[in-house]
Amino acid sequence: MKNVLRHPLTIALAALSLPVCSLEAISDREMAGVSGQAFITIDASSYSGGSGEWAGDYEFTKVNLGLDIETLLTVDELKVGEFERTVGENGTVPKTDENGNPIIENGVAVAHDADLIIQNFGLGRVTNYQDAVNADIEEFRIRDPYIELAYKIEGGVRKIAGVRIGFSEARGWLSGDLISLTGNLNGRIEGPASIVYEQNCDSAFDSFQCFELSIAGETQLVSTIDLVDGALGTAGYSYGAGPETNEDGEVQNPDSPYLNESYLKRASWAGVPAGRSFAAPGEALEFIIPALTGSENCEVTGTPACFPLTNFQSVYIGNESVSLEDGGGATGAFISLQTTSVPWKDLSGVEGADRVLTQRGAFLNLAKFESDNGVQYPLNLDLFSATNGTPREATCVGRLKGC
Amino acid sequence: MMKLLNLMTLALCVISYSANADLQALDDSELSSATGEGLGFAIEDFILDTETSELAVTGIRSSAGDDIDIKWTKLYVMGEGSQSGTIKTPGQIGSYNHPYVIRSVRGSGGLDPSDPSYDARYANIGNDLALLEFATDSYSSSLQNSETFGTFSYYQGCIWGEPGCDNLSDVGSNGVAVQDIEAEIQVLTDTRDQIAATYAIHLAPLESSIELYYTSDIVPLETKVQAEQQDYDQAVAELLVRQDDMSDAFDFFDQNFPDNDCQVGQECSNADANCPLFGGASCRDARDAYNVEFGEYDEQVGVRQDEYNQLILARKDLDGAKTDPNKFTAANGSYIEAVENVEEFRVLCGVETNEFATCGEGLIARKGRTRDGVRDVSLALFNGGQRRGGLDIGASFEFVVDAVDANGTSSQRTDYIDINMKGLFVDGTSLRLWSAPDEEGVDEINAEIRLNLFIKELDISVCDPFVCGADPVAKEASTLNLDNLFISLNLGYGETQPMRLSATSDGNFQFELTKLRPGPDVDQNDQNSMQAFYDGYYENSPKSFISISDVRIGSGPDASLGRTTVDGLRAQYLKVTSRDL
Amino acid sequence: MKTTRQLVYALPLLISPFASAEMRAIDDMGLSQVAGQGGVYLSGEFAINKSGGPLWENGERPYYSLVDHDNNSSTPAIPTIDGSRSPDQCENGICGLRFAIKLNENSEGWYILDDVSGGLAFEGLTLQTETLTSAINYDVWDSSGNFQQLEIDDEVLKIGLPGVIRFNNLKFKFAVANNGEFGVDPEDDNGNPLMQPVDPAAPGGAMEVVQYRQTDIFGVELDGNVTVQGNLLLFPVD
Repeated sequence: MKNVLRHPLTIALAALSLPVCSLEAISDREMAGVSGQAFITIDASSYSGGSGEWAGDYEFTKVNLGLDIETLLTVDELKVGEFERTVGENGTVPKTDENGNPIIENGVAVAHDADLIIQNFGLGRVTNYQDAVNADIEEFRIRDPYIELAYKIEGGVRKIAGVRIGFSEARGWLSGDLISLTGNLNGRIEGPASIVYEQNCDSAFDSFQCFELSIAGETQLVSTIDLVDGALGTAGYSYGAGPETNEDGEVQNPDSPYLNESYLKRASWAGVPAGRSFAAPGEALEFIIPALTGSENCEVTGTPACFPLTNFQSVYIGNESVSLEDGGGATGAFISLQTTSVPWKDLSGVEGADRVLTQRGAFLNLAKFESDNGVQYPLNLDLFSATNGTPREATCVGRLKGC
Repeated sequence: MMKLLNLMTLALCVISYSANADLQALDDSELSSATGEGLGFAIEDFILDTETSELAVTGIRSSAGDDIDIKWTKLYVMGEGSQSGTIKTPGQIGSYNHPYVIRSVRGSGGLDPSDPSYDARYANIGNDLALLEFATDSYSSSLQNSETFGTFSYYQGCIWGEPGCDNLSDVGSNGVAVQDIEAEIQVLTDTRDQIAATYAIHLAPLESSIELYYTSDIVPLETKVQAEQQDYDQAVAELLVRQDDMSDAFDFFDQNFPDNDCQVGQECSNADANCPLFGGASCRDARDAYNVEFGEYDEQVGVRQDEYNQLILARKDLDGAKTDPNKFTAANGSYIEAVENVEEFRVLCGVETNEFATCGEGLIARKGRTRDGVRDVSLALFNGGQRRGGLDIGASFEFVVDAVDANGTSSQRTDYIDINMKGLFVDGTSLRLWSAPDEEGVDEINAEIRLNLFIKELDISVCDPFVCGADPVAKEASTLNLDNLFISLNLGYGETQPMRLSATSDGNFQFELTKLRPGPDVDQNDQNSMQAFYDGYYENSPKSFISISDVRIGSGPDASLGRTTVDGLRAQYLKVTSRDL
Repeated sequence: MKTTRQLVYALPLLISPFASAEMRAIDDMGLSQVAGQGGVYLSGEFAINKSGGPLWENGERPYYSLVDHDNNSSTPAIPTIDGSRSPDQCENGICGLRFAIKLNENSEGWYILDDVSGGLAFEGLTLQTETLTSAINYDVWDSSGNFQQLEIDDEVLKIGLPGVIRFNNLKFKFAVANNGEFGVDPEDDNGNPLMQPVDPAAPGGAMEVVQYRQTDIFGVELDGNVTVQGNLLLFPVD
């Protein structure tokens, strides 16, 4: 009988008959061992603590799928949210060519067709791609994806406000030609002051700035990058969304047309937004550095500070040195679609992070997240690679992309 | 007493109608019209409606482990035009000339295409294997084929047949949809022309120059960068060690002799140390010890800086070799531009092409075929063609959840989800199953799925039926509408990449699209042979597509979020394992 | 009494509408005058484990561990009721039918259709052969959009769906488990209990017995009348 059970396509009808023992309550541990939680759970929540356009009653239903996914996936083109947007409204930035010149049609600057356009999108990579015999796959890992629906209660009627698909944890290479991006792409630039000096000063006496930089030596400078408007010659050039404040709370970018926007729409450039400075935390010259390294007109003391998104062909999501099981995955990544403002719950684990405030359209959230080593960023650049970009990781055998 | 395995009790009441009691054998001529290779079936005038019955879904829980009561309040499958299941319209599932089929066939892998038993559909499954195929209806005309019609609908941008989207002047050989896809192809062709115009030399010599430049110029610089990176990393590691030593020494000094003005990270001078003149030997020793550590740290800072500078120089050199047009003498522009242009050209015109002037099987050719399909549909509609009716399928759920608010307090809430799919078609879908030995030689069930799903309109409403039942405006405002949802999902590619379903020992299921398996006729140790295998896979294995021509949430002027596409999705490897949450 | 319920119900007598009190053979001439459609009209009722099955009569399913009674690892271990784990209680004291399927030899897990119980009844399922004289060809149409009607002369088997199906608390659960038999710990090829490392990160360390484990995915319960109308046509194809 046991051999029969081992063969494929065997239908087993249990037919043993044995006496029953006395009944005992099953402890929780025993219960858990017998019948698992199963892979679908549904959670409901509500939120009404928002302000401004996010005020009001929101309700959410989240379907969690307990899945462990390993994949090497490619998509020729991913386009979400293809509808009309006017440049200048709601933080919509103009489309530009590779040099930053805005594209003009009928005398007006135009934006990209869709909120999210990613070409040659890839998750995972191929190692030894030029060696067809030894090429192998390094998978992208996703754990526990979820689908969440947001409802807004207006006048007693419940309306669907938005839908999002996200991953509880993700780890691996994400590649693509980011043509148009709407949402959050957080990155970190770091480098010693000497590189700024190197790139701008022939000697310490060129200018006061160069003198200061020469003293700074290898003070580590750190700044964060966000989506910026890269259209040369326009009012919004070099500005990011929202105000940039210094430690005293003073607004450093008062002329920004995007001062009151929570995020830019259809951006194709990223960098250190105007008004933001590098910081030199804990270093002797920490008070001088911000003054020296304020970003203005897409430059930081002569070093370019804005880069086309297509420069960043591949980013590593998560922590490359820590496995997913040990907590090396990025948390809080999602893609969503809304028709009205929706405050999604922020699942990145970063302290103080509460809600992700989104508006009408599509939204891609590749934001900073909390991991064992503290706050981590999906995009990590040094001052050198920032200008020159990150190369594409191969997703095909025999070529980098497009298979 | 014998215990019988009593699984079913069957009460049969058989009443025979009047019948031709005289049986006659079918003669051979009648038998031969059916070859009997497969069984076809079709359901005419089908209606399924669970109206008065009670269904429930059990076993779904919340993260906290509480059972969620899910009532399945409605399920219907009817013909198109049932107005969300309210009018009992009969639907057709297949038909005599376009049946659903279950058949058993032999694979055609290894056969010559001229062989009469060769069937291109089964070319990826070995001739020694029998497969079981379940296929839905199929149509040869582009208008009835939901794949081409779905693509047409996407480019047309509206649900054909609905008011506002039935104007014959918008279709035809130059209709809205055709123009849209032509514009897309034009952008691609322009890019191709631009690339071809950039280079005076041909594609093949350009590629060899790139190869050559890579080995002679890039590789040595990359090696240098790696070496410098290693040196830098080592210097940083050493610096951290010395920094720790310095901190420890300072802590020791500072705790034992707190009356000092010294700072860690700077040399501690005699004046700052404030060591007592008499009896301050231990103080001075500690200070000296610290200064020694500081000295080593400071020295390493310099070392790290030097390594960093060298690293930056190496990277600059590498970058220069890649981006400086003067360095790459073989052609116009820089090395990296050439690489990108060649990659782009290959994407557009295929791997086989060797000339800039020709364009083979690539993205442009694929889009061209799509455009031909779209044009066929557009022309057919213009000439009075009609689309056959599809199915209306709907399901409603009501579930009670514990909603948690921002403060953590939970309250019960009843959620409603009402799904109505109008005009659903699944023609062109097939599921193939066969058994073959896996990598360890153990027999396993392999599968291949080609799913074509086209839904004219998918509505998901979340409003409480008591509130919205009588208020169509409120219902519209609470609904997510997806127009012209088209999913073409292709999972598995014969023996090369079969799909496998299994379960693990801890009670979880697993679904896998295996890594590519070169067959016995591919020499796995030969570069060219393996590359040809991969190229064949990239060119021939079908990709998946998802397109929605309009995503609308609610009603109102800003309700439309436009088109959404996932174009050309392919998983070269996929493994999904369920796990307990 | 349980035993009476376990008896198989006797098939009812065939009733012929044309029978007279005295049965005699109808000759061929008589038969050929009997005209009309051929066909069968079926009504039926299925009930699966409506009051529990024979196996888990007490409404509970015990767990078994594999015990090597003769201390010989080359003879298979015998599943013995494990007193330390209390039995699984079936819903309402009624344990349903269990199907377990393994899709390939190497797979460690089984797909389970568990706790299938309840009844369904239908009336009016018809079965007949029909000769189709025309069938629509959707690939060809005329200028007014009318589809082509092909002239054919083919026989098909036509099954008329009953119209209404009555479900009586029919339920089932879909689950995945690591053994086909409920509650029995999985065993290796020699019939000995399967072992796994206590700490997954230390595969060479202490080992423990793999216990039976089932993960319920979802279940469905159905009660009431469902409308099912239509005609299912079956015919051979190439």
